[in-house]
Amino acid sequence: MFRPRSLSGEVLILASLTLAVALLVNGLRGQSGLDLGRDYFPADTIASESEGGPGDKAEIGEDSGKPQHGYTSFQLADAKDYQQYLDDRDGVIFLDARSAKLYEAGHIPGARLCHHYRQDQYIPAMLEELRAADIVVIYCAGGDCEDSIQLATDLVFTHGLTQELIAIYEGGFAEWVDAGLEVRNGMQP
Amino acid sequence: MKSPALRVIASVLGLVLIYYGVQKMGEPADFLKSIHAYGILPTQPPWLLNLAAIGLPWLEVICGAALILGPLRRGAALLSSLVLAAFTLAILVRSFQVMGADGTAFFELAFDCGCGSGAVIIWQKLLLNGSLIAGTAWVALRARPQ
Repeated sequence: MFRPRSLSGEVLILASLTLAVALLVNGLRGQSGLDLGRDYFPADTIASESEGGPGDKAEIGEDSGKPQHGYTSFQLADAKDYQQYLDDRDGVIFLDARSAKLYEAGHIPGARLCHHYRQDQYIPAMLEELRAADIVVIYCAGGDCEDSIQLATDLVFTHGLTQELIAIYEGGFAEWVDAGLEVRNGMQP
Repeated sequence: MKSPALRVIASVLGLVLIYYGVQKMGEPADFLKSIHAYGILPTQPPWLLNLAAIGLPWLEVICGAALILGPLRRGAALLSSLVLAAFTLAILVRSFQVMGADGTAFFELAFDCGCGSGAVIIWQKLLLNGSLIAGTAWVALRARPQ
């Protein structure tokens, strides 16, 4: 058996082996693997390229590192009066940008699953509906979670939705639960 | 490496690395988010961050196995100590950011460091990582080519 004598030789073999195994396993994962060429953080990229963002408003937050967005905000007050919010508007669509596992464990009633990192599985089937909606409200876990902003950026810059169509629920699912609002379990919206 | 003590220490370090590597493999997107949150790597080109997310857990597992099995032990120990040092530095920097942002005291600091074990008490994590770095660096220096 070949045994490298130099330290750099050992490091090179380990690095090559790691690369080969990681790429192979990622490929075998199929849709649950990562797409190596895809930008999963488009809001950051746009902000850094334009010193603006969606609609010249997004930028990287200096304090939190979370992209500050230029979308309309869905507020806690709206959440507390959820039914009224829906009644006042035609064609409101809620998108849950979290994973299927988290969605199944609990989500905002009526929200559709659209996991940001697996969005190709969900968006094509609902794209026309999203374009025709009055408003698309996107949320994720809340707190430091920025998946809702990243998904919104993809919807605008990749799928052609207008920025005005989108609202971000910054408080996210954590705030919804903390407010004691109704939660639905399972995979049905 | 002739010393039984070194072999035992290398094996323990290897098991710890394998454990943490496997913990990060469940959902690649979660680890990708963790790496991105540190802001160490640029988001462009995308493959750099994505490759780190799929590669680092395997690097831990493969280095862990090499530490236990023997061949390539020196290289595994060196690589492990370098990766651990980079991660530990990143955790330290993020700790200061969090402390600066919300005024949390250092010994009360806890967040998900992306290490595969959820939210952790940071001073304990830094202490553990410091021990792992010292251990792997020691093995790298003491182990002989096999």
